[in-house]
Amino acid sequence: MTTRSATAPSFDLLHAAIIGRVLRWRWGRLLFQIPLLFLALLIIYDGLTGPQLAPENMATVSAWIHYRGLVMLALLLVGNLFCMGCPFTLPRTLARRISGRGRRWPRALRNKWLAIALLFLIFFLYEWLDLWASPWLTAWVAIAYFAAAFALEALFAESPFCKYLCPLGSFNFVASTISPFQITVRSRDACRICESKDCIRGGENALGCGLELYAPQVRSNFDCTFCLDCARACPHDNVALAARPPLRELMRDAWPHRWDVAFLALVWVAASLSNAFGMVPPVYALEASLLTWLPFLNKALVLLLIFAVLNLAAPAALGLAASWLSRSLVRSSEPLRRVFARYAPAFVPLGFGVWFAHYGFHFATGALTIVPALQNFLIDHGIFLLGDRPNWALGPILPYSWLLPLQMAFTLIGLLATLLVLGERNRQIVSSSSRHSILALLPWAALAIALAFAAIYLFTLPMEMRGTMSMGH
Amino acid sequence: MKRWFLFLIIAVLLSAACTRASRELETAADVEVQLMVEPAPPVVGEAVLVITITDETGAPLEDAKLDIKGDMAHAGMKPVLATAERGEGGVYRVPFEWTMAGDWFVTIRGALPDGRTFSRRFDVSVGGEMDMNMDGS
Ligand code: SF4
Ligand code: SF4
Ligand SMILES: [Cu+2]
Repeated sequence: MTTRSATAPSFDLLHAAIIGRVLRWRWGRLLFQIPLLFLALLIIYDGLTGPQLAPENMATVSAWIHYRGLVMLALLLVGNLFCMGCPFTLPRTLARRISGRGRRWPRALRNKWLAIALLFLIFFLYEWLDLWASPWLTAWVAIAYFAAAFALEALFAESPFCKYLCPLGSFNFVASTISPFQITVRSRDACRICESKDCIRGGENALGCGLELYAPQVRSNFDCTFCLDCARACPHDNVALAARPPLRELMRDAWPHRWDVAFLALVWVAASLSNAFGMVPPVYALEASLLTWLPFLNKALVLLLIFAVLNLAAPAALGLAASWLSRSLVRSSEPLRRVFARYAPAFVPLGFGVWFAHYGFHFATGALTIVPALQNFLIDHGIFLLGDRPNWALGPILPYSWLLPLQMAFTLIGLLATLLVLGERNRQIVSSSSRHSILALLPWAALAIALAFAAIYLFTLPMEMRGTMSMGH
Repeated sequence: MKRWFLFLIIAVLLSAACTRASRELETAADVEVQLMVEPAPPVVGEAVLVITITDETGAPLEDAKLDIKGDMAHAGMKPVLATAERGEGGVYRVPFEWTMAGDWFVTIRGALPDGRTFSRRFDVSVGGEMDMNMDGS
């Protein structure tokens, strides 16, 4: 048993009673993956063969109500639990055995630009094809996921899918930077004298980190799938999944100072707003007027234009403008990239608040619709375990009147946290360089406040659930 | 290998699924169902469904038992349910409520006294209270 140094985490999930053993167990991850694999197969099966009315189909209800709501809850309370139980990596593990050594992922693509493009693409497809209203397409999204994860694993030596491509992963990586648990080590001294470094290299019968993170240096949840391979590989049982103070990661300078990483965070925040914007009356009015002004465009291109502006151009322009202003106000000559990378991560709590408010709304209004959908599914297969008639009267789990106040509260808590992080990041730089002052903070704080109020405005608008069907009429 | 296995599972499941009951609507060919909504164009709030049921000759069917379910196009909204027992002259006026603006599917399932059953689905686009003029055309 290694001695604990002063850095030993106060609460370590991996060494908690029972749950710790389960998590560190060789097949611990499978325990989470198998239920999710069944769920994914159910989504494919019911999506392709079941009723095509979205509220009656397990695929659409579980993917768009439960997955989205519960994944936010897990990120808030624990961490990146979806990636931990990700079913798409299961056939991939097989692919690795079949393919043996593939080539390395190209150097030019070892960054987040493709991940940003795919995150953008999935949000666009979601809106354009109305995935939420189509069990059939929802099933095909799941099939495409299995196929892509498998193909990439068969072609390449490491695990590029999670790190460089997967949009669900990118979403979870950004969001999990506010999660209360993070991979770390119990004793730094043990790592210093450790020669095998199995946590990253892999050992006799355990894989090293597929995302190429080195446990003693992990300071961020970014890129960590919570797969716990590092913990299983470490011969000294030195890896911890430790509780950390809220916002610590964002307040410390824990992210690489890179354009792509900081931009991914801002795109993710912008998408939290545009995704909610996709459901309120002004978006339909905007689509209609764009179609009259730009008659050579069709519906898909109009939507692509709106989304490119909201999800890519706006975060780029606003982020650069704020960086430039922030730098000019204190007459600093710091590279823009550093300014951008210092303040952009601070927007994650605000984005989290807005995502949580939005997906939480759908979960709160529709969590129980899974019951009649499941009854319907069972009855279709001659199983009358849950009765012989679906109880369609089930739906909400919270009174409707609570929802708007809750949505506002989540957004404002997110804003408050973002302002705190901005202030702390600014304080650090002020104390390390005499050039800086509180002024550098102003453009960023103004941007955060504006975004939060835009979100609250969106939540006060009546929601509409329109599909491509009516648009095509 | 696993891939083949997966496809095999899917193929088996697909063939087993051809018989799924809830996928099909039974459309008794000799029953005509028409749906009109009040107010028209429909907006969020209280409404009346005006359902006209006749046989193939156009003669009214007054004693159909109707089960009506209004679903939104998207998952996760509780449907609006209603029933009707008798329609004077084959016209059933059913109080209803559009709980949200957007695209709705109204599914009408009916049973006639002679035991025949039928069902039809209609799509209805419901406007918000404010944007009636924008939406109604
Ligand atoms: S294998 Fe364990 S002890 Fe060695 S460096 Fe990794 S975490 Fe530290
Ligand atoms: S550090 Fe790597 S191996 Fe460890 S849980 Fe995170 S992704 Fe998995
Ligand atoms: Cu929504």
